[in-house]
Amino acid sequence: MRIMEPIIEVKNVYHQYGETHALSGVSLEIYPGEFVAIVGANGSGKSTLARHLNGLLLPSKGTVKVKDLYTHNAEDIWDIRALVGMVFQNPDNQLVATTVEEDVAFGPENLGIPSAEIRSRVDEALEWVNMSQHKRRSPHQLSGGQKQRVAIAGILAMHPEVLVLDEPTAMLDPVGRDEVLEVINYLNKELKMAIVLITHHMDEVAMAKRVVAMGNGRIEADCSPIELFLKPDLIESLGLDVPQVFALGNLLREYGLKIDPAFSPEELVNAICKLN
Amino acid sequence: MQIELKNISYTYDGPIPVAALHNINLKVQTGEILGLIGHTGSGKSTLLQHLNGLLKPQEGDVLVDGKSVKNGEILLTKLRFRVGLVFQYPEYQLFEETIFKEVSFGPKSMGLKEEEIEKRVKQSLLDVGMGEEFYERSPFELSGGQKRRVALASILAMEPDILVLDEPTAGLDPRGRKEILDFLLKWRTDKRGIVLVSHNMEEMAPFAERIVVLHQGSIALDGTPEEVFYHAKELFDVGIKVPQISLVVNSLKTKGYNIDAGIFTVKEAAKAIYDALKDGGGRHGL
Repeated sequence: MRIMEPIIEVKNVYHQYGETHALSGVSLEIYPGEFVAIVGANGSGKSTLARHLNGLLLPSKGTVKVKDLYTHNAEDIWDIRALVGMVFQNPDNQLVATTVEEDVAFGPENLGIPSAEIRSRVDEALEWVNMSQHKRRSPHQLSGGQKQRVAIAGILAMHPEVLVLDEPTAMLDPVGRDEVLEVINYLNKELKMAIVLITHHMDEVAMAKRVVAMGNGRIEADCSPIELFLKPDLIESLGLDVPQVFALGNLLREYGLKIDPAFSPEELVNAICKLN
Repeated sequence: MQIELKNISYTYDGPIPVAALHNINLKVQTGEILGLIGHTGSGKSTLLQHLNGLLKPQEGDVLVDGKSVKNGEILLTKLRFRVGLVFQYPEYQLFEETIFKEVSFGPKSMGLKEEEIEKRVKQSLLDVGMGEEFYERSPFELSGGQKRRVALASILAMEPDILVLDEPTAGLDPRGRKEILDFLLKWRTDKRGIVLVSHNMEEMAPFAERIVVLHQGSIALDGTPEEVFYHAKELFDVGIKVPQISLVVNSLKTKGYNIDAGIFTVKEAAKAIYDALKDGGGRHGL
């Protein structure tokens, strides 16, 4: 039993778009400071689930509770969105202002926060995503990874307790992707912020402590990344992939070699060298 | 068909001119799968646009089967039909009411007969796994992966000799990625070639037969995947990551195990590592 109360409690949620059942009885709890990855093929319901976490979508049936607030209570919705921040795939759709710092200030301004406090929140948020030196630039002059970090800062300035990121690296090049992942790791490790990362990149899953795998609107697995990737049949049936190094380890074990599961090339090479 | 970029340099005009390509020499031909990699801003897009005549050479020349683009020996409009360019996130460019009309657009603009257009549209939709039931549907009702396939079919319907694809699998789930790559392998023949741009080295390494690395507008490396990924450090310096499997294989090789460096798939690597350990061909043996 966990001692902590969950921040988010999804209880038996169903969601229907027209005839399509996007979620069919999903229950999930997110705890303070957790790092949870959500994976699933296109159409598995993972983005629909993400949009329920801060009330962008409402359940057809079931409830989503954030602390002691419910997303179906219209009067709670803005408090919920301040607690659960969302970052999306395309940074270009998330930036609205003419300079980076104005953009980051947009969220707290809407929360009605006094301007001195906004100033300090903006500076702090830009510091967290390592973008302080660019604060007076126009968002359009930035690289994809920089834009996405500004979008994250805009959410952080609202001081959320959970950050939900829906494929935040899908449109970025490898450098931009590393920058964003580094920020996400920092927020979780140093600021103890709860992270929910929706991703198609199986190697990003290894960063999380816990992974939720979805298929056909249901949760098919909720375990550690290692436990998930040790089940190749399940992975296959969900239309997912095992990260390559980990998959290599799996095959070597099938050949009868005694090798511990590993995500990084170094770990795997060391495990192979230790065999003798 | 062969396209030869000869001493191509290109600079974008503006208040601050930006040099995008510097003295590029490159041959692309049917029958081959060429992988093009490079960091954002390396000049990849500019290079691709030279291949199908979207950009006219500023300096140097593009030769299509020996005919000069610069001297007008080949019409750019013709070149665009023979070299199909599939942009990044092509599904954002869909615009027709129905999928059938969408895919007809290309062949129609080639001035083909109605009958031929219909034949090509049906065939190319079939090639990407979309049957009759899709013809009258709106492309906007489709899932992301399906939209991507419609966009691809709309280029295939022009029956290009060379298909140039910029990040065709970006944003797709693992199954969607595999479907696209498997299709491309099937599509390629002696008479058809592929130029693939990808940031995903795990995907690129087993797929491409030859890899060209672009850095700051120049060709930094050009060789087989095995040759190119052997240069892990140089690649890292230009912002490119070596495939994970190569890192394992090369590291074991350095430690004295008897393993072929040209291995890029998980299955081959597992077998090679097992063999190296079993035969004692490696440093220690089992």
